[in-house]
Amino acid sequence: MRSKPQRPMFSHTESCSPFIVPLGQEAHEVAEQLCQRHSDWQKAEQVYLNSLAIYAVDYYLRCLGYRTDWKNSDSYNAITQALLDVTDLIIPDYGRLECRRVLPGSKTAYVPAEVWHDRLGYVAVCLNEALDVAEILGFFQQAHVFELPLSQLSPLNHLPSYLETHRRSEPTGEPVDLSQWLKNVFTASWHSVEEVIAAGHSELALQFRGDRGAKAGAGAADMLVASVTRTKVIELGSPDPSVLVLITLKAEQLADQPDGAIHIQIEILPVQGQPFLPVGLQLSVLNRQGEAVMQTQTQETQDGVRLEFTADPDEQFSIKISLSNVAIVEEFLV
Amino acid sequence: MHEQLELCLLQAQQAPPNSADRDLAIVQLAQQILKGRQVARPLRGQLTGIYLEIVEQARFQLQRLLEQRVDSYNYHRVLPRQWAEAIRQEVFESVLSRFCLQRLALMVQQQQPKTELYQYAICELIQAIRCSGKLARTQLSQDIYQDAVNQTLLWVCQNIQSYDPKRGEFMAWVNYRLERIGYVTQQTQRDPYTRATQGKVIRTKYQLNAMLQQLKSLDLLGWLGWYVRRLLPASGFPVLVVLVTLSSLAALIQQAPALKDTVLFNLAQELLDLPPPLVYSEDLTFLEIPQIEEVSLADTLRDYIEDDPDRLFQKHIQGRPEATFQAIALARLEGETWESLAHRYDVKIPTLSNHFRRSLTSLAPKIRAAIQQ
Repeated sequence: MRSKPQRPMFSHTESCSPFIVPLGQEAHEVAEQLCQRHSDWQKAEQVYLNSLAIYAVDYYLRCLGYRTDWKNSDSYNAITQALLDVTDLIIPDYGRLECRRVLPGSKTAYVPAEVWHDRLGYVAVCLNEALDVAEILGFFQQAHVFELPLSQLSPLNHLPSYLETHRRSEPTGEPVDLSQWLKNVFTASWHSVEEVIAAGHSELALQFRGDRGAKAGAGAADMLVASVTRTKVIELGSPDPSVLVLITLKAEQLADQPDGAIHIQIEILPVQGQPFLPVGLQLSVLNRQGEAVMQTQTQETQDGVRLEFTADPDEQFSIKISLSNVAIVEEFLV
Repeated sequence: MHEQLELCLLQAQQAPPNSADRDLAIVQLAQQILKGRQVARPLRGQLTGIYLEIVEQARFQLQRLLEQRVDSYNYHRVLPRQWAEAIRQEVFESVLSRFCLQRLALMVQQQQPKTELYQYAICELIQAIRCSGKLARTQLSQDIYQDAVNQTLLWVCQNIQSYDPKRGEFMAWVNYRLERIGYVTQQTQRDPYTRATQGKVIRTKYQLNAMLQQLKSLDLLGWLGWYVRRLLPASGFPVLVVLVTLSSLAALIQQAPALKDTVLFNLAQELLDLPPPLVYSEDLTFLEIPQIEEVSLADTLRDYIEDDPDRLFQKHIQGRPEATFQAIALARLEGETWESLAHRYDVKIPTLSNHFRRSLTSLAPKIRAAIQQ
């Protein structure tokens, strides 16, 4: 015989607090609009239910003070909807969160293979039978199989701190002054190559630079006065590996251009332990207005990308490194 | 979990009055009912402060109510879960007083946004407001009222820092906003009859399915009391027609479960499209779902990807020249699974699906521009 319970005893399920979102007319109108483009009933139903799940997560995130961008998510686009079972919701500055619906009484959440990558996580949303209440149960950080057991859900309470670990670095608003670098005055977040090697981020960097730097410098040896290289590790967010960004400045002094334009070389290398850069990584140079003036993208098995250009004093530019849903912008002033 | 509730309920009813067994059964029953609560949930397994107070008060009131009511519970009139939910609702409406809600609001103001504690406090506040029964009722229809409440609570979340207890009571602050939002929501509602029917069909299908679920577990009359009142006034189906149809359907579906999906879709369409919603006949024949005449997006997409006039879709997975975007997209449109495709191209599923999705995300704007009429 059990003793009389004195204090509440919490079961495993009780420690996960779901968040309830009643689905009113607005939710059903959005779902209706989104499924209208699909004449196939199964696809229309999939889009309809997916939209209700996303609506609930979108509401929840906005309650917590996050900005969301559903309209630009794949789940809002009829073409991606037609070819994928996709329920992403973009949280600007963080990434894409997948919102998977769960049937009442089900023990697993279905996550299709097309969304196993490039996601911050997978939120499980239970829609009741009459589709008037959504219950946000919790989230998974990763998905590698079709059916994820709900018993392994992380509690919803942990989502904000989890998201904060995936927040991307934003432009600080204060561009890095490159002309200072030539005077050996450096910005704290940019390190020397030696420091990066010491920190264990790369041992290949020097070798890479030796090879290619020599070739680039050969034709311009007569104008080379000073050269400086600084580097920074950029995190692209899980599951993609970090990459190493190197900026090399060469002050040019030409007879007919006495004002000292700077030759700038931007390279991206894999960090130690990664033989190649992620496929589809894009490096762009943007002008003051934010328009891309140069751009390159990695193919399969590429171990480095590089862009070179010359900038005049006081010119402002930024570099943008992007990979699928991640984009990092760094601003500079010459 | 439901069985546990039933068991506790049975034990409480069978134990002799004023016995220790009965006290224990009541305590256990209260514990079972409290488990399903939506407010004052533990944070990392811990309940503290006001949240603990709420649970303890609710537990006390619940035990007292159960002592009075457990003997009059009749299994044939209402399901244990519904009975328990009603009692829990009553208890929390009492515990979550206006003063209590105000204290919960002040708890939120003390937290740093985007932290776990903030998330906890704000979710607790929102759920508590919903469960408290302290939101002003308005003349709006159920769906529209729900939207107005959702919007109001979102507004509360976004503006919680500007609430000042010196200037007024918290729920007065919330309800003032609810009334204004309710007014605006009603003004902007679209006429329900002009809305597209596709979504309505899907929704009705689920409502019917929910009705069928009820039918399985309850006798027809018990179900009638619970569900018809809830659904029918909103949708306007003649009660008798729906009842007779549903009972025939339940029988039909038991004979041929595979038909269920199609039958429900057809029935939902019938109910919504035809002026006399559904004419009952002996053999229950349903019309085929009429196909939409204009060329569908899927067909347009299939034609465009197949022709590939802009040579966009010939990139392939490394080392698998036949696994082009085009081939994968067409197979996906035919409903081929990732397992089957992975087997055919001898590539791992994640490689295949990830490559496809990334390509599609970058191609989608071009495709959209090309196929838009």
